[in-house]
Amino acid sequence: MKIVYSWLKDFVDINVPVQEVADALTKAGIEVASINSIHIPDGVKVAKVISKNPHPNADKLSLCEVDAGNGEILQIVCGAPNVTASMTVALATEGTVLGEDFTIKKAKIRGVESRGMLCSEKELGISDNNSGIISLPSDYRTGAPLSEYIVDDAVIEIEITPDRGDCLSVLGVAREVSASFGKPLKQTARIPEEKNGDSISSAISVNIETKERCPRYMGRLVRGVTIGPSPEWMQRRLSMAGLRPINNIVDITNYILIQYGQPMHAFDYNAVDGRKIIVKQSQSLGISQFTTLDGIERKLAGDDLLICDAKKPTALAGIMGGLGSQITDSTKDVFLECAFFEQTGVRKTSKRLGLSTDSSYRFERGVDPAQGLENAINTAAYLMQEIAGGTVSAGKIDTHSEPFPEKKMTLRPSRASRILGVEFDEERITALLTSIGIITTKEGDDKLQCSVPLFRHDISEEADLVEEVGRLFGYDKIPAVQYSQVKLTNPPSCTETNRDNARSALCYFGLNELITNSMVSEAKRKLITPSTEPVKILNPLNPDMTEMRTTLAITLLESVAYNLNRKNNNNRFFEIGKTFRPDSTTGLAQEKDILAIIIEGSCFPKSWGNVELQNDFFILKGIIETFADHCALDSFSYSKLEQHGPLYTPESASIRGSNGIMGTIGRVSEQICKTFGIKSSVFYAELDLTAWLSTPKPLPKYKNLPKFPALERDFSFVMPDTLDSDTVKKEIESLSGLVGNVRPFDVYRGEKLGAGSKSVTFSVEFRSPEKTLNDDDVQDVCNKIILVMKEKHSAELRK
Amino acid sequence: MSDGLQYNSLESLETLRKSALAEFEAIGTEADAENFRIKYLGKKGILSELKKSLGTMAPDQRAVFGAAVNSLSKDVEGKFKETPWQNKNAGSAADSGFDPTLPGFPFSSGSLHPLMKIRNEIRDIFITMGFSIAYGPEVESDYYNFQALNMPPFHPARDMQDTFYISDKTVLRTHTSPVQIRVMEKQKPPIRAIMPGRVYRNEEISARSYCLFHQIEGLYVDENVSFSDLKGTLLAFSRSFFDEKTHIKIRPSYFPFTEPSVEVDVECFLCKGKGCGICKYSGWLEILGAGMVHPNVFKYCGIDPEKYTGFAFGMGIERIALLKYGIDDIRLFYENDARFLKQF
Repeated sequence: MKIVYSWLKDFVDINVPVQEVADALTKAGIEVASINSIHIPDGVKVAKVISKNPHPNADKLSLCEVDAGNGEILQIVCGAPNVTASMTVALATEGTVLGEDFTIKKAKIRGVESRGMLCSEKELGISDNNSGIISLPSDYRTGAPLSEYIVDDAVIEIEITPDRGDCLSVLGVAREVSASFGKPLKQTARIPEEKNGDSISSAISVNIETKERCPRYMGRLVRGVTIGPSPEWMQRRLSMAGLRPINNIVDITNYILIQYGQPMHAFDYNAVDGRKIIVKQSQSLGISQFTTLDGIERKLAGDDLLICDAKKPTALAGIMGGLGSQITDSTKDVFLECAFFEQTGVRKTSKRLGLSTDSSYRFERGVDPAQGLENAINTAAYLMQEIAGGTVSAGKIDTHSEPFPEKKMTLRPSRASRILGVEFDEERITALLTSIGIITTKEGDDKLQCSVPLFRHDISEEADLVEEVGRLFGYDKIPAVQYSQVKLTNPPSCTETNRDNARSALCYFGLNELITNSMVSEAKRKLITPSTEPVKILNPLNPDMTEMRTTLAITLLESVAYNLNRKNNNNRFFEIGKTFRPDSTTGLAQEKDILAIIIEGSCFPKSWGNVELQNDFFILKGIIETFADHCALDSFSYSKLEQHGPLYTPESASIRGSNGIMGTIGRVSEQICKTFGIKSSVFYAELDLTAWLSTPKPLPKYKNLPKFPALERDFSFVMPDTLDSDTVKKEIESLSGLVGNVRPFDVYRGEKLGAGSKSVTFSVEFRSPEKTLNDDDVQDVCNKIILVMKEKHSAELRK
Repeated sequence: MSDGLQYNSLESLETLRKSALAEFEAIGTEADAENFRIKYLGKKGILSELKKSLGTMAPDQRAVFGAAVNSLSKDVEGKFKETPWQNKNAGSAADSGFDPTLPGFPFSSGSLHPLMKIRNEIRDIFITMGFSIAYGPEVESDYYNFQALNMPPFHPARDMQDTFYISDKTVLRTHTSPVQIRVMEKQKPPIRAIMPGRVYRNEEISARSYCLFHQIEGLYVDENVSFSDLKGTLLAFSRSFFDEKTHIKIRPSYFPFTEPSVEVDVECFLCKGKGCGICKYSGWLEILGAGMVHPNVFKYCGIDPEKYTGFAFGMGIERIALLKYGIDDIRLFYENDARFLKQF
């Protein structure tokens, strides 16, 4: 919201630099986004256009003769569409500096001399309006410096938190300024002169069908207005506040909106059928559509509140008027509506229709139902009388003429002291609260009864009063404790420790950690995990983010592609992130912590001392094995994936470990690589770490170091292609207590062996805790190994 | 050549093998290795000459002697390949030149994501202050994300956070504050916890905002926790994280779940409050939102607001990382350009 400094001064007598006001507002909790100082530069004069002719060489330019005062007539080229003869304008004469550093010079524009510039409001720094040059009142003295008429001012742009609806006006901001500077608030409201004999009550009736949705409705009738432009001072203030002047009646309602924060609606009285206003819900009217004055047909829900006349709805209550009921150039009599619409109702309708207006924005946050409403309608009627030449009918409509009950609550000074950490007594609290219009009376021991103004919708209980005390006292003055209560035991979080361990293991391995989006497109999810059901987003930001990821493969592949497109080759990435599946029992999602690793290109690029080592399945497997080792996990078991799905080629496996760890690993299929625009070989693995993360890392258990050396024997078996080396390893290990580590170290396939066979060489370690073994000690075991392999696994010792 | 001719019997080859192996064992420098290579394996070395001499032998002699020469040659070559100098010689431009300026083996170092680094730095400071860690779901109910945080349906404060909906009752959490509720429901005071995590906002993606980001929430509930404790804690955090002499500034603000609510500005770590590009010449950085836990929130969690008081705070990890590393575009964190990642 934009607050014009001179407007603010109508309410509070202050004369300090605008920055001081901004600082005070910040301290009060009103965020200042920017300050725009208004200063008409020296050299800008009031001038009059004598004649306007087309520019000989340009269609869109005009050639003007301008009277700059003191008998000086200048030829000026002007590009504004609204320039006309006899218009009073702002002329930037030669040598004037506009904005930061734009100096006006005598210039030739399309071959014609121009001696100055006619300025728009934007060029003068008054507002953002740049649609044409500024049209000044004709009584401004030609040749006078414009700064005599448009005096220095400033516009403070502020941001108001949703609880402080009472600050959405010059008055509201003035209240805070008044409290900060200790200056009283000045009365600005006016009362119109009423015409006897013409009573509003005989001219119109108002009936509220839903009192709880519209607790107060006030109306006034102003007859015989002349529609025309509003006075220059009002137009200037409105445009500085960011509103476009329209005509005197609409401008007055907007002026009241900005000044008091009270939205009003002006009806053409003669268009009100049956001289009746009825406030009711659309369901009781039996209509489902309504066209607002912006020409858009709106679908209504049953509980939308409408302002109707005897025949038809004329406005969406508190949000926007209807097409056809607005003020026109021929309007003579104006019915002014000034109401209090209940917050939630307005918000529901506005939200549902996606229609937020200056009016709905304020009603949603709450306006002042009491004195504020009266001041607004009286001042508006007064201005219509003064500015638009109207006559105000006697009396006013008021559906809530009895006074509103006071809003009272109790504040315990001890509570304020306890929450804020500073000792507050009754006197101190009373002084602070009085400055913002809260009246306190002593109610008993440690009890202050506080009467809160009705416009403070944010104050409804003691905690809110405590905040006011703290805010007005100044948070900067509350001391920061130096020593807090100490908690001596704080066991480390095993989730954090495990996660950090996993991450550092992978980082040491030369992998880069990624953080990727958890929202992905349906199309990509279907590519990779076609049969999983996703968690879908009802209102996605864009078509690429319609659901929560079920795998990290999508975003990791995208990251690889992103890097390859930038010539970053040989990528190896990991991410520990969440995947999501619908969870019907909680209504939320099953969220899993997934480790994903992707490698592409070479593991070691070619260098002078080594050949290139291409990434492959077993390099990725090696990374995972080392990760497991680093994290003290039992070794994982791998088995060929029965269904490798679209993500992988058949060169893929499932992974199983203890602590619920499971996942997959494999070469990414060509089709998927192609879809993601990747030309090189990619290997990907995904592990579910959810359960493991919250499992404390076991203490390492020390085993005695072997006292005697091991004996190693190699066995080459010719065996069926389908026999896993892991099966053989486990078999051999199980055959004798003397067998230690069994390690496959050579695999050979060749014509000599025939199709369906392979030769695998295992290095078997024999060790005894009691002595150094010799050949004889292991001969029996060796024979047993050969026999079992032959009989059980059809594996022959290679000759 | 004359050397070669000395070895004409199998016995003499055995002698040669012994002396070669002895010489091999004695290799101590790169120069020794090179001499060894030239003597035995060079083009005019002993073994080459021996092989050449085979042609002049009688065929019956040649078969036996040839096999022995080949076996010896293979052994010596094999041995030599084991020496650490072998590789270097092959790689250097000149046989005799050792060039220590050549790059080492191309291992590559990994990197941890800058957001995770900042997250953990912040976490560790609060751990030393006695805060434990709690987590909550990212797909969250409307109840935890809004209602229990004192934001009933149609509360205007919901406009402060553009929300992704999964259903009318389920959202992608817009802040980590719902974890406060989950913690307070489960645990009785005293509670001292931080809650890191990912949050989502339905906002257009730009250099300044992304559709998701990461927060760390903090909560401290006990019998006599005051605003003064909040200030002390956040001051201590700021001084640990930024600079020992950092100052903080507190402005009133609004969150429905705290009362009072404040924004905490931290003195710019770069210019020490003098004003610079990072702090937009204000001298202060907007880092934290905080406040005293609203009594209504305690009631939702079954905690007696008369007995217990508490404070809560929250900060955005991205925002702090952008400031701390001088990064000007938030999207860099999620685009994952390896050249970016490797800088951290």
